Amino acid sequence: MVSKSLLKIGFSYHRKHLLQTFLILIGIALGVAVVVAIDIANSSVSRSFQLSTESLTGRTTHQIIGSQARIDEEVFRTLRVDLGHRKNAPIVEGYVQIKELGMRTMKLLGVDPFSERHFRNILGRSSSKFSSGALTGMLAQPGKLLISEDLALKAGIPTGKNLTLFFGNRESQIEVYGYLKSQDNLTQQALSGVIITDISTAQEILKMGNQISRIDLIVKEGDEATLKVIGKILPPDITIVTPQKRSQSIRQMSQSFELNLMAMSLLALLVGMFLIYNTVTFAVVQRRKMLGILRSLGVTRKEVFTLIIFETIIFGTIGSILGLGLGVLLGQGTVHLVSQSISDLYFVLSVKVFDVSSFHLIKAMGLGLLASFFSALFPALESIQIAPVVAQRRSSLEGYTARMLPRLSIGGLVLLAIGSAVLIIETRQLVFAFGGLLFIVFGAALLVPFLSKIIASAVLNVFHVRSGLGIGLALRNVTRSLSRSAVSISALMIAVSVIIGVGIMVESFRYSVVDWLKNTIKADIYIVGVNREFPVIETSIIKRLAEIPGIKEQYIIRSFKIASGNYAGVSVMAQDREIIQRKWIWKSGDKKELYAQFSGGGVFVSEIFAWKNGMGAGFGNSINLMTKKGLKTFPVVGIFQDFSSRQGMIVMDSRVYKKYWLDSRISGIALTINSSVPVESVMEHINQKLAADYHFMISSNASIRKAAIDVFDRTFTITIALQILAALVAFIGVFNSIMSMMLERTREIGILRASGMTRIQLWRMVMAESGIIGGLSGIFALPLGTALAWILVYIINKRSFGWSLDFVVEYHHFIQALGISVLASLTAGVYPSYKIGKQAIVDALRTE
Amino acid sequence: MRIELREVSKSYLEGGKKHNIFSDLTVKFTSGCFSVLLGKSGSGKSTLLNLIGGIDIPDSGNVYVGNENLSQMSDYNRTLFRRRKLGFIFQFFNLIPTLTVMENTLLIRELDGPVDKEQRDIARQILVEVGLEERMNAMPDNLSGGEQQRVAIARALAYDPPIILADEPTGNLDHETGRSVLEMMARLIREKGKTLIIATHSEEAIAFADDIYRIESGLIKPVSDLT
Repeated sequence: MVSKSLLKIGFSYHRKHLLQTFLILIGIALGVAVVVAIDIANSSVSRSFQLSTESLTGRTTHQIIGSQARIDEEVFRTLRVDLGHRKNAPIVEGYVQIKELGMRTMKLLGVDPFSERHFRNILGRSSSKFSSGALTGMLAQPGKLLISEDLALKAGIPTGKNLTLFFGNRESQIEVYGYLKSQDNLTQQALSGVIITDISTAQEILKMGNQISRIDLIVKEGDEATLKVIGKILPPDITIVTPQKRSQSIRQMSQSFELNLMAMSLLALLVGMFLIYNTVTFAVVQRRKMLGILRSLGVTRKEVFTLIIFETIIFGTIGSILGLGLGVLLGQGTVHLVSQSISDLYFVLSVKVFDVSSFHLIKAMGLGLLASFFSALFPALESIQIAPVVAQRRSSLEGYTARMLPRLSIGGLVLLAIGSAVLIIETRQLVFAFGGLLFIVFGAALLVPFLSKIIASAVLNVFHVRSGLGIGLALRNVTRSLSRSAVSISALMIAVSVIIGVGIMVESFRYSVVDWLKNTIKADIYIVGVNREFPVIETSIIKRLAEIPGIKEQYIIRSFKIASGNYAGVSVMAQDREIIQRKWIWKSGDKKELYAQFSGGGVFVSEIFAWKNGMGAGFGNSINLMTKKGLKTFPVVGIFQDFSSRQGMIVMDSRVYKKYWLDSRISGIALTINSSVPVESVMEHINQKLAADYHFMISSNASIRKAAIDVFDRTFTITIALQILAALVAFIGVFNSIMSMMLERTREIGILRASGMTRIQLWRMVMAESGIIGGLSGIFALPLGTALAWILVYIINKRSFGWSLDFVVEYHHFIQALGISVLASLTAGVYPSYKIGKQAIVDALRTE
Repeated sequence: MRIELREVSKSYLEGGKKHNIFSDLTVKFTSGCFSVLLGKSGSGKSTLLNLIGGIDIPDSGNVYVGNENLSQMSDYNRTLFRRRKLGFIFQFFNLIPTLTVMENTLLIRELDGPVDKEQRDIARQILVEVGLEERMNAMPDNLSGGEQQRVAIARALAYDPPIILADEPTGNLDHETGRSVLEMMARLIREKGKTLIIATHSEEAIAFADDIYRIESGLIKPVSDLT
């Protein structure tokens, strides 16, 4: 441990250098805050998911679900009446928006009140008292709903009031019959995202006819015989699963997305570490003489080392605590952004919670302390090299750095090689990809001193700027103070490369999505059923559409999501082959051959589906799907690029689908129109003629593309927020560096001022030095940022999500990054140059 | 060149208390002479040099160097004056550690813009004169104390200023080296016709001096008889 007097000496320095102390705290706080904010966002999503899907499971042990998330009511009747199984409950579920709650999305649950008492601990209140009877009372009052008491009180919704429910373009007015409550806290929270009606009302609102979503079961543990008996009465495409397995497969969808966010937040912490390293190094450098004196008085190397580490850990603790508070505040914003993206991309989160657990806070605190410890390690090791009394001379230190340059550079190259080797390893474990990326970043950082020296010396020699104080002296200062300047350049380079890397990745992604939309969305108008999970439109609409002038051709689309089995969550789309336009990753032959195989029972699968199921490009792949005629095998004849379904997509010929699924329903219709007729007028015509009789959403080609791009942009809002935070940390880092560098050179600057350097010249020199640091950081960030983008596009995205993206490098990213880099460092140089210029020369000359 | 202080007062705040260094001090130094300021530590020798050099300004009174009144000048003009008319030599050499011997020598020239070949040749000549022709590309920390002080002398002379101010130039050197540095300064000053004022508490410098002053209790007195 460190003695009290040593600590007093140590902290007296920090008391005198409050700005630097503040910067250490900010560095740690910002890094920790980003980690906490993302952690809170991810765990809130997880908790919201749990509340949205799992908490209402109650005592359910198994669920009967159909491969298309629909079951005929007849199955329930057979189970109850023919088989005599009593502990089961039919459920109808879907999502509606409620006008009176600001169009909030709520889960509509249609239940059978008599069956419910075995399953869920939900009490209803229609008069003054909560009881399970209120649920049964609803039976006598069909067409009414129950809503969470908490929510109703908050929104001021009394019983008897009509609520306006929107399901797609269909509006229903439903009266509030009573309130819901649960003694179980988890269920109570979940109820705030739910409205309950009887089965038939829910079927009517959700346009489900005589179908239900699932049947919940209670089967004694180990009672395989009952499950076997139930299994026997089920049609081939209907299966029994456990609720946990079902929700697990849904939850897995967004986990790669969340993991990527976490990795980004760790990158922010890494930039923060450079900041701490920088500041602690300067704190050691400035106290070199004092530490030398302490050594001469008998303070051991170990005590000096412990002092530096201990100080940083103390600051690490304070900074981390500040970071926790800031992180919780930032978390409010990130929860909203991440929940929005998850709802856009993966599943509806009907309940949104803000989940801050002590585990996250302790984890972030631990990371902050670890980051502080590792950041202080090298400066602490440098401090123990200080010989007693004789303070290490500055140029000796630079001489040492110069001698170390070859070793550092070789080390950098070795790290780059290791990073590349790790990235090449074909594995889906993202830890390898992120590990490789980290090696590349550190490798590049170690090459910075050598490259800075080479470039600055080349500029000095080639442009003969040896003379003149501004750039000449600044360049010499940068190259001959590499032990200091290289750290600043590295930190800024990493932050700017993150900006470039993420920028190029988002641009590449956006370009790929736009290109994909252009290739895929070929028809002029699309009409689809309103249920996101199970879109259906009555087939008679085809005839009615044919009567509308301006429509040239109609192509039928049938789509649904597989609800159970190995391919749960995968979208199946049955289409007329004439409208299939895809960007092929692989196809089995030319167009003629391909469509012949397709019509003969072959299927196309999306790239993600192929990736998830380990299918390489080429012949020999096939998939087994549960049809109405039992399990059937379909050969894969093409793999296409797709961004619409994160779980993957299977496309088959409409005729093949009808043959095996015995299903003539349609989910949507793609329309082409005569070029002479405006799209808007045809859409208006369709709405006027058909909206009252059919339940559909109509969109133009352009609006679908726009909506898709809007979702895309929303998804990447969080990434942009992280970019801004990284830039902020970098700015503080470079400000801190320049400030410390100037403080370290106070005496030197005093000599220059005494020798006749004007304040303007001093300002110019500091600004030139800052500009050079920014310029070099920006230049080095260009290749590193491009490499990061390449890794993000071709390795991390591919391994996380299975997407092949086009790598699009727009030069504005480079110009923007260089601009940010130079501007950040120039701005960072303003205050130090002002402060140092104001200092009295006499005082500056007295500085040790 | 005239160097004159008229009714100059200077004080510092130390621990919240005002500490008077000089009150109404008046003194005139002879142009083209080697003047030595003697006095104990803290007597005000460095303060006097700083006032003459325009590094510091008096609380009241006037400091004349040549025809200029430094007390009335703006910070900018005082800086330019320092650059062109004065050369400084400090106790701790105060070389820029990241610049070579040659670059340190040229530093003040560079403050006025790019250095041409002629100026570079002048700097090289001065370095030859101070005996550092072999060390022009060395870094300061690779030089001995005596060598570093010789670089500082070369730097002070490189812009050919009429006045050189030296604050304890031998204070950080051993006796032998200190003496050789003083010899060199005296030789160069006389050869080049400069005014040199040295603040020191070493009586070694007396042997080279034309004028000697002693500062004591805020007063400055010419010393005619050291015994």
